[in-house]
Order: sequence, then structure tokens, then C-alpha cells
Amino acid sequence: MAATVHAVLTIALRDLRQRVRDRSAIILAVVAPFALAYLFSVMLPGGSAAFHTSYAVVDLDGGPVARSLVNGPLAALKEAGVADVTAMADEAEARAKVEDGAMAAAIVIPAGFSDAVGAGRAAELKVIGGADATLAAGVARSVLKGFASGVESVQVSIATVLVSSGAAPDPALIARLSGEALAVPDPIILADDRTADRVASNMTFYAASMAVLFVFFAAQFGVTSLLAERRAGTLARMLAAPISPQTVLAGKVLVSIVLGVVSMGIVALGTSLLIGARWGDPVAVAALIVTTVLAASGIALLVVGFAKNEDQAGGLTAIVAMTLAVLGGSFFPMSQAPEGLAQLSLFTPHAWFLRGVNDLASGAGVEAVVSSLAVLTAIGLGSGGLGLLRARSVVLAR
Amino acid sequence: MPTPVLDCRDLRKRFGSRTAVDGVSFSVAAGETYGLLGPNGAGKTTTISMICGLLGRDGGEVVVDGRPIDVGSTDAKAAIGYVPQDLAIYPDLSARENLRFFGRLQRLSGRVLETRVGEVLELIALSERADDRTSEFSGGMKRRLNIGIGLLHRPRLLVLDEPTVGVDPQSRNAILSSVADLGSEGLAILYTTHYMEEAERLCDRIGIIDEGRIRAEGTRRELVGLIGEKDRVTLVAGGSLGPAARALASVERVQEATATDGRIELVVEEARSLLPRILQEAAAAGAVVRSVEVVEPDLEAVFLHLTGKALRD
Ligand SMILES: Nc1ncnc2c1ncn2[C@@H]1O[C@H](COP(=O)(O)OP(=O)(O)OP(=O)(O)O)[C@@H](O)[C@H]1O
Ligand SMILES: [Mg+2]
Repeated sequence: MAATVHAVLTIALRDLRQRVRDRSAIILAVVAPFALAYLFSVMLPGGSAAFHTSYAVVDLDGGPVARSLVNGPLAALKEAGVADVTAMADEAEARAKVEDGAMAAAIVIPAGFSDAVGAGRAAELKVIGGADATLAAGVARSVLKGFASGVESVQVSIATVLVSSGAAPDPALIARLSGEALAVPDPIILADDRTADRVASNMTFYAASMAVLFVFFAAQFGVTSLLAERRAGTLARMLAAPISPQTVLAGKVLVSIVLGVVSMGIVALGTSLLIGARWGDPVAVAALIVTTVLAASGIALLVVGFAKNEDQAGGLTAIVAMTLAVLGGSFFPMSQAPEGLAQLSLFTPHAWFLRGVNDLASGAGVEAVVSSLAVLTAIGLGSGGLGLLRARSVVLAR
Repeated sequence: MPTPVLDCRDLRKRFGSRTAVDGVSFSVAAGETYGLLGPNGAGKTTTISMICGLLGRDGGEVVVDGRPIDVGSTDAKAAIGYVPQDLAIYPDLSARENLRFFGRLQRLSGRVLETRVGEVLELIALSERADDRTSEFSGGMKRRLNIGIGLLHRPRLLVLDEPTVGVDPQSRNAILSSVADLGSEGLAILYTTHYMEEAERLCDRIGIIDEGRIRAEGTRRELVGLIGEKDRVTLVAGGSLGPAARALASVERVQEATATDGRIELVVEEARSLLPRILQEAAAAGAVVRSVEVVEPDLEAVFLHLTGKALRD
């Protein structure tokens, strides 16, 4: 038994060393998913790691309260690199900039604002947003709300004005937005947070999608090398040693699992630390990762059982990984998929993993992902079991 | 006869409709070198793969060092040192790392492993290059390492599958003499080749294999004797050749003696042992012998006789 464990580790370590030496595994297992998650999050609508916008500020008041708004929260936005803030002399100019898209939104501080606040009278701030830049306008609104809530004893209302180039603004949208602005019961609820949440959840979705897509490529390295070693003759040489075919298989499967866990683990950790993804409860995420890697390794082993050589296995793995990823919602969320596809997706590890991450990201604990864990484990054991049966003949064929 | 180190009986293997090995039986004793001599496709590698537990068989039995060998065997395989026909080494590892890896699989570790790796490197004359990647090695160096890996764990049976294929004559000589040394140290060696000279030089006994069957087996002499061919001796000589030929013809085991211009041609049984007597008789009959050539029938001829085809195509 100890000898078997020793042999399994010896085989796995040699393989891992080779994988570290030749960079292709690292690129496929770590660099590619991380880079793609980042790119998607920047390119696709809805979320941006590097959210950046531009505001025009029209200070018609010039008083101390107005200055504190400009030098306080708005300056902070600029400093944080979230927005360029440009001062403008009059509202018409700012409105024109928003209309032609040069500015995402304009913030207008009306004349008499400071006086009104000083006298305890109601005061109003105005946000002019392009209809197609609602996120930017939303950020502006939330910043102003935050400021307003800090202005004690004064009711500062924030009027939102929508402009759009050419077509008339959608009245329903205006009504909704202004209603929202007016109906905010507690100005302290910062839309700022909600925006960050949305960005984070998009980031998490892309990170998780790419992690589960690429774990198939990472996991294939271990088991596919069975075919390469068979061709090179080193497999036969290993089997001539006092070890069984199962020991060699175990060594290779272990490599797949280690590479898979490292790949997904680094993507999860990296996207959390560097681009603001929020995966949720670390223990539950770890469990989800391990079971997903199990499923990916099992499927990779099954593919190896059907391939003649390592090139064929690589091609087959790519086809299987991409098909499962599309079906499983790695490229677009399953909530947008037609009914039949959503059902089909339940046969993919991707769907179960993404569903699990989604639950965890919104704050659920490990108990929320039990079904995902169970299904992923079952997929892993099922495909892995079939794969082992076939792989035995791979190992013993010359 | 002591119990053989390797005993295989009635081995059979088919690949689809092709029968690769068709009832092969032989055994190899400690200190004995057994050659499987046969052309390409004869079934040598298939036989070896079954002996080493690398390939499932359709029939037959293999016993090594008293223990049966099967594809699932573990401990029993420790008695075998396997040197595959095609180089089986990792190009991205150094010679030392290759030896260490396979040594660990042979359950060596720690100091024992390091010492043994050093010894084997010495034996295969690669100590100088031990830490170079094997992808930078010459063909002969790779061959030597390929053999060294099979020796690491001091097996009782060394199985060499055409270890000199594609090797330059010098390296080949070195390989052959180290195999001969290993044999004299008591290792049982199974050696496959399609080079007649290697089988003749190294092997105590030879099995001639063709189309999955051993056609004949024995020492070189036994095999040659099997086809009843005699040695041919040519004496290049001056003096009275006719009387000398007549005198020689009456010597026991000399079957023919004819004088032609400047030489006497003899057909002799076991010429080497009779040579002093032949020279003596020739001199006594007045011939002045300037040179002697002995041509013994070789395994090539035996193979041709047994199979109707040449050993090498
Ligand atoms: N995996 C396989 N699948 C199908 N046929 C095979 C396989 N391995 C060997 N054979 C066939 O079995 C026969 C014996 O092959 P084997 O490799 O044992 O010959 P060999 O004596 O080692 O030849 P060589 O001197 O060329 O190495 C050949 O006809 C070969 O084509
Ligand atoms: Mg062969």
C-alpha cells in the first residue's frame, strides 16, 4: 500500500514537474482563463472591471456647500479614477456635451443652492444623463445622494433629467428614473453599493465561466499524457516495474486533479484580488471547485479512452469542452436561454458549477450548493468510472 | 538442471486475425543468455511483452523466479529488468533524473537509490554526462541509458529487446561486451535480435523464431548440427597436393578432400578440433601449408534451411 502510494506520487510529481517546465500547461490552466475573464468583463455590457466615465459639473451656485460637493465627493471620484470631472460654465453647454456623447452625465448645482441649504430650505441638485449611459448617471446620482444625506437637516432632492440625441427621451423611463430619485426613502442607501455589486457579480460570472471552461484543458494534461507516454514507450517501461496499471492511472488522474484545482483556485483567487470578483464563502467555493475538477478529470479520462493518440485527445477535449461550455452557459447566462437548452444544460458540469457560484456569490452558504456538489461528484465518478474501464485497455495496448 | 529463472510455456497472442505468437515455450537459467533470433515481425517483441506482464496473452504461462507473471502482477515483476526495443527515456530529464525516476518505481529510495544510480551511470559510461538532458544525447548514449535503466534494481532476469538497433559499431561492441559481462555475473538474460552475429557471439542457447513459433532451439552447434552441415576447410599450400589430399581423406571425420591448383578443399565434421591433425597429416604427406581457412555453417544457413527464407530481407 505504501509502495503504491509512493509510486502514484512519483509518477504524478514527474508529470507535474514537466508541466511546470513546459509553459503550455500554465498558459492554458491559469493565464488564459484569467485574461479572458478580464477581457470579457471589460468588453461586454453590464459590468466593467475598469469602470470609467466622465462628468460635466456646472456650478451655478458658487457657494460653500456647492464647493464642498465639488471638492469632496466629485474630486474623490476623479481621484479614484472612476470619472473625469470637468467644470463647465453653463447648463446648456453641459447638456450639449451629454447629448453628443462627449460626457456621460452632467451634474448641475443650481444658483442659490448654498443659501437654501444654509437657510434650511429644500434644495435640489440635477443630474443630466444620456439615455444610453444610465450606469454613469446612476453612479452620479448615488454620489449625490451620499452627499445629500450628509447635509444635515436639509431635504436635498435630486432631479434626474434624461436627454438623448435625436429621439425624444422615453417618458416612461424618465418617469421611472425620476420617481426612483424622488422615492428614495433613505438617502443614505447609496446606489453606489448596488453598482459595485452588479460589477462584482458580472466579474464573478465571467471569472467562473472561464474557470470552468479552462479547467477541462488543465485537467486533460494529466490523463492525456498516458497516450503520449504509450507512444514514447515510457508507459510500458513504467508498467515493467512492480506496479499495476491502476497505479499508473491513479498517478495520471492525480495530475489532472492537481492541475485542475490549481487552475480554478488561482482564477478564483486572482479574480477576487485583482479585478473585484466576489465568489463568496471560501470553503463552499473550494468544495465546488474540487467537485468540478473531479467532473472535468472524469470526462477527460473518458475522452482519452476513445482517442488514438494525444493529438486526437487534445482535439476531442477541445470539442467536448466547448460544447459543454456553450450548453452549460459559460458564454451566456442560462437565464437568457430557451427552455429546452436550459434543460439540456443540466447535463453539463458547467451549469451546476455556475449555478453554485451564483448562489455563493449572492451570499449563500455551503448548504445552498449541496445539489451542485452532488451532481458534479456524480458526473465525475460516472465518467471517470467509464473512463477507467476504457483507459485500462489504453494502458495495456501497445 | 536448476529451476530456471524464466520459464514460459505455450505463449499465444493474436491481434485481430493475425497470430503474432503461436505457442512459444522456452526457459532461461541463471547465468545463461538465451537468444531469440528472428526476422522483423517474427513475434519477438510480442513474446517479450507478455513475459514482462505488459501485454495480456491469449494463452500460456510465464513464471519468473518462481512466481507467475500477469498483467496485474506487481511484486513478481521486480525480478525483471526490461529494456524495450524503442528508447523509453524522458527527453526533458537528465540521465540521472531518468534513472532516479525509474529507480523509485522499482522501490529504491534514499541512499540506496543514489548509490545505485551512480553505479549504473558508471557502468554505462555516462557519469560525465549524468546531468545533461537526454535530448542532447547521441543515439548510442541514449541506448546505453535505455539499458542502464533496466539494470538499476539488480534484476534476476534481464530482458533486452534488440538493444543494438541503430547503434554505431563501436557502441555496439561496448553494449555487447557489457551484456556478456552481465551474463557471466549470473544474470539470466533474454536477448532478442535479428543479427545472427550477435546471437552467435552472446548467446549460450538460441531459439530461432519465425511467424510466432520457435522453429528450433539449442546451442549454436546443436542448431548447426540440426541441419547436418559440415565445416569447410581450405588449405592454401604448395608441394605435393595430390598425395596430401589422399592422405587427409582417410582421416576420421574428414569426408572429402580434393586437391585443386594451389589448394586442398576439405569437408570436415567439427573442423576446429581436428585442425592440428589435418595440418600434421598434410605436412607428413609433403604439402607446405601457407594458410588455412575454416568456414563453419552459420545460423543464417540454419534459418534458411528451417524457414526457406533469409534472416534479413
Ligand atoms: N499492437 C499490435 N496490433 C496489431 N498487430 C501487432 C501489434 N503488435 C504486433 N503486431 C503484429 O504481430 C507480429 C509480431 O510483431 P512483433 O513486434 O512481436 O515482431 P518482432 O519480432 O518484435 O519484430 P521486429 O524485429 O520488427 O521488432 C507482427 O506481424 C506485427 O505486425
Ligand atoms: Mg520487436
